[in-house]
Amino acid sequence: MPAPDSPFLTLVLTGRNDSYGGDFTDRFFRTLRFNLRELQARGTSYELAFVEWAPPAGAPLLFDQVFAAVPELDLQRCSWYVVDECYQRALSLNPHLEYLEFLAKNIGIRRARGEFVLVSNCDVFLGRRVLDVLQQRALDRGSLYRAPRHDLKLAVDPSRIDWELLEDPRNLAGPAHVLKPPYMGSATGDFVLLDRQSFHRIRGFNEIYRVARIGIDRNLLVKVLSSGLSIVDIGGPVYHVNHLGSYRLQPAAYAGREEQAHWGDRRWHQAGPSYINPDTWGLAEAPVQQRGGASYLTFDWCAVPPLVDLHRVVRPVARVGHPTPGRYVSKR
Amino acid sequence: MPGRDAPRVPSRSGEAGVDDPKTNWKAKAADAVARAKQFEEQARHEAKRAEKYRQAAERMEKRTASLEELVARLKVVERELAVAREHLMAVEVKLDILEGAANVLDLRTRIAIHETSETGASA
Repeated sequence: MPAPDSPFLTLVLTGRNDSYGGDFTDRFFRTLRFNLRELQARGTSYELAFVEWAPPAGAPLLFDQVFAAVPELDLQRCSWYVVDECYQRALSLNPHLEYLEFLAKNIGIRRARGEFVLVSNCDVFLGRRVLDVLQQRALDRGSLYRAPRHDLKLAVDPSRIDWELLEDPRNLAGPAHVLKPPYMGSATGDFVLLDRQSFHRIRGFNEIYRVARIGIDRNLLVKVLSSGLSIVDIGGPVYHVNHLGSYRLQPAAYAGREEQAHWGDRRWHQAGPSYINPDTWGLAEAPVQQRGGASYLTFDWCAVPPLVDLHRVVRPVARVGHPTPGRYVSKR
Repeated sequence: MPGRDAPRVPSRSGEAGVDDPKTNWKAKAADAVARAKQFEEQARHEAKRAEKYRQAAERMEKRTASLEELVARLKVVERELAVAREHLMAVEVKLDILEGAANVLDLRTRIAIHETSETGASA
């Protein structure tokens, strides 16, 4: 049972002030303002769980800027976690990997208070249908909801985002994505909505395979089906304005040298094996210091899971009526 | 009108007339014998064909049985292949993790050795 004061929705996001994609901070604040305005206009009860993962030294924290830039954000409805950058180095199994995005998201999922948890990205605008469903609370427990991502052209002026601009098909960069059952994959990390209880039962995203960032979201879908949950299309899109550095625009940027990609080698068997995260998933044992409204997860080796924990890589469970996992694809 | 004992008139070709009962009977018998032979021949032929078809049916039956067996075996092999692929994927994922860990430990060791040697040099 959720606590009486718990919100209906926890929106989990992660980011840091590292100029990812050129103007990360502007894009993030702009998107956050839009989404919070729309949630508030519909009276949706929500909290924001933001994980500022391994912020670069010398640059101001996003936490120190966000309240001035996003007046819609209320500290009472916001849980902000700043994670010591030592965790990135201690946890990574790939020196090229710059950001353990899904481990960061697990921190937010683990500490979410909402009945439902929506994991998304900082530059994803929620669509009208998504907002309506959240407002009506028309969600089932045990169903993971997915939304297709509509990419808007690079040339679209992000400073004047409104419904007209978002919903104008002329602004789409290529054909709109369609989610295909049973996995409903494609840009999964941009929209994963599941009740908190189920999210906690499956223990979030894969924390065992810390070799790549790419495909960890897709791997969650294997885990979900293997756990007997279903995957459902929520019925409307989310929007993303293309930007430089986006994987979508340059998926073959590391062709022939995939192991050097800063998102990891995309050819790993993300649709194959499942996983069992340890009890301590989401850095549950990391010491926390409260300062100025934010929670700082300070570094402690005790909170770091072992580098290698191979028995936690498992074959997915075949469920009656559910599909078998992905086909084997030779890597080399 | 011809009298009762009037002699039979042979046909123009010299054959016995059709209304000659003896000739008629013989012709009919010869015809029947020929037809019987023909039927016998046909019966032998049909029997041969029937035997051929019986043998073909037998062969088909055997083939069907072996095909059904093959389909059943293929299903088993398909399941085993899927399981083997799942195992292979899991093994490759584990190898990725091991390779990653080895790389990370290698890097950490190099840094530690470098730092130690630098400290030693400055001491």
